[in-house]
Amino acid sequence: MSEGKDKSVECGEAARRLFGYLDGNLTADQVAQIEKHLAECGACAEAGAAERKLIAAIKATAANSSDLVLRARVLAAIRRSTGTEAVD
Amino acid sequence: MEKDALDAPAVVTEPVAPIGLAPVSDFEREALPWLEDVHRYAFKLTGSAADADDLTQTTYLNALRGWHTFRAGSDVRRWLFAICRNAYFKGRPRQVQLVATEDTELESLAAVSESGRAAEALAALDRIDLGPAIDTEIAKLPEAFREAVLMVDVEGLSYEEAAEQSGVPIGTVRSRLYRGRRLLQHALIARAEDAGLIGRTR
Repeated sequence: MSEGKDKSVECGEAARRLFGYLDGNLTADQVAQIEKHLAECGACAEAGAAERKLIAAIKATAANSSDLVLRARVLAAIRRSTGTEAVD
Repeated sequence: MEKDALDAPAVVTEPVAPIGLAPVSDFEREALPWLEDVHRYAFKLTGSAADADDLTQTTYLNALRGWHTFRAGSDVRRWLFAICRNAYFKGRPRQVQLVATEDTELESLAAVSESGRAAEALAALDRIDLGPAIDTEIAKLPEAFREAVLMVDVEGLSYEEAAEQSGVPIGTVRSRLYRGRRLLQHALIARAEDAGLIGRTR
């Protein structure tokens, strides 16, 4: 199945659809196709694992860090702004 | 205290919110818990802590002004991210369209760039301090790619939503996202190589 010329075609298709797969933008049929290919092709499975890990790492950076100074600064700006609006 | 003052009718110039819109007095309670997330998002846009501070403040002031438009029950964090992104890009000349949008181009890109880097990427992702590295490297991405990565990966927008907000076709979002992630992956590999955490292969 995934050998020789057929395999290269499938790998190209898998690479093209990989992000769509990982981002949940494929149809059920397309998902089934790519999952079948990833189960059969070690190289594509590894590429998929790397992409999945990168995306998860990016998503994980959406949160945390802490900066109390910034919080105080923004809070002060908000309250100044609100106070100004109140006077107007 | 100050919060009480904010809540006092004499201070708050809150318009009567139409049904379904959040009242202004909820702004601090709803928006401030996301301050650090917004700041980190701003850093990814600007690449500078000082600029991220300024952008975060601007974001919150813009959000306060637009609070009456916020739909109660919507995702506040995502709303703030969008305001932050809009504040950053506002007034900046948009980069010329850098990418074509055809799937065939993606396929050829994929075929070339995937070869042999997955193992390095996995090793790099395991060994470097990912959080700061990703923040910094996203900030270095070309603007259009940075925007796509932030919208889809950080804000959690669908391709359709990202296309609508950036005013480009879905294929362009897909292509920009692909290239942005690819550049990011290569930058993280280079970091790991430079730090001697993985072997240098290229």
